[in-house]
Amino acid sequence: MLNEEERIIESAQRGDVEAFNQLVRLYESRVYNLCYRMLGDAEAAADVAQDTFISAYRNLGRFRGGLFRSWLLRIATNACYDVLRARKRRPSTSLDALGTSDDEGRGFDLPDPHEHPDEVALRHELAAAIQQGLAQLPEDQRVVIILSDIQGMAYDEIAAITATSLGTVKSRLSRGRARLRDILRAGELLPAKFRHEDR
Amino acid sequence: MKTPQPQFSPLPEQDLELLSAYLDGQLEGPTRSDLERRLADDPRLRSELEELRSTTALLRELPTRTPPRSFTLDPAKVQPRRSGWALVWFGQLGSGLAGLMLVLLASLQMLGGMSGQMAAAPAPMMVQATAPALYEAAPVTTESAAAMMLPVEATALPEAAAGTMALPANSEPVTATESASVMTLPSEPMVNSDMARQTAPSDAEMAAGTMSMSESATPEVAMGKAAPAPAGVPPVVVLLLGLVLVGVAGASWVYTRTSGKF
Repeated sequence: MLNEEERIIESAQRGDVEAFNQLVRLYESRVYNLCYRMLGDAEAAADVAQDTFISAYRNLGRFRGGLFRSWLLRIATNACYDVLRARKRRPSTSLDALGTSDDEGRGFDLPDPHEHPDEVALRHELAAAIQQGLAQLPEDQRVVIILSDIQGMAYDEIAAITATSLGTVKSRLSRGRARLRDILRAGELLPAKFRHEDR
Repeated sequence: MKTPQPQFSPLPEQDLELLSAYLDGQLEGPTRSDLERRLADDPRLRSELEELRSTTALLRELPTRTPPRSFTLDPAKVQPRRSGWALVWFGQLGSGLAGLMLVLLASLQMLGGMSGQMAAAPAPMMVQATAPALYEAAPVTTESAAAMMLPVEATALPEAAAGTMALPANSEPVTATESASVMTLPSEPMVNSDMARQTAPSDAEMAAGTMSMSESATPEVAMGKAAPAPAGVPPVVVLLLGLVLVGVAGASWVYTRTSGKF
């Protein structure tokens, strides 16, 4: 599989756009979901994901091997940081970033037709609550939480994507999880069913 | 109405980090067994572990979102951009070289200015010597156009000089007036100077017309006499302009190198 990917990357590096598009199809969901969880806004996430692939294509000559996925996600992460920095300079455009936009119920994979409507609603409510909690985390903690706990990546790959050490990844992950736990509990963002009992 | 208050973990950060790593199966050997022993003894630690486990479980259960559109690239839109990047690259190289040439010119002007106080002749000679190089390297700089004027002015026939003298009298020192003329040259000075270079030996009127563009040719210059000081804008301005061009080229290069963020 990896050899096949390397072959496709080599073709793309020679300027074969269709070969590059195979890579896009392979990773677009992962890139988009990272952007969505970082930005909390479906439209902005789509724009950043598109910019990520364009930037990756133009800079493909600088890819020197290793995990292409990590390389791609690093470009996406940096692009998300750029958008978040721009939002800080123009705060009026950052309302969606708080996860308050009501698009949590849209854009998911098709729900199980046997799932009860109440369960669907609860799932969406839970997802919206977690997205709001994520939006309140510092960006460096948010990205490691997304890569580790949502996308299931290993520490070393997260370290490569975020250009940090393993120790930094562990530390940010620990602080991010604890902080998210506190946010979800303190703000009562979670549906009652999922709240922790106060000790 | 109940006001929710944040409840920050009472555990030290080191313990939280251990619990987080333990959750991910990242602890080994004595560190792991030591934590497991503490977990068995400390209900607060166990409770903290369970809360962190619940939090990570919630995150893992977040559904994957479907991208609203495909992000595949359109070959027709992507490939032509490569020539655009090549243009950017040539632009960076060109402005960098032009900047270096201006710095060199300014240095020569400064040297000429120093020696010009003792002997006036070398200054225009040096400008003349550097002008062709500038013409090749930086075809759009007005300074190079001004420098190109000097040989034309020096070879112009007396009639041409007389024609120029019919212009509003300008008896200011050459350095001041030429500086002003350079700053007010139109945006296509090379066309004029180039045309003048080609026609000056055979067409005195054309040469005179070119000279009249500068509005600054004193009889001394037109007659081929040396200017008392380095011609053109003050060397400091040329030097600064050169440094700015080099800086812009460098910054542009760095930006394009890092725009891939990798």
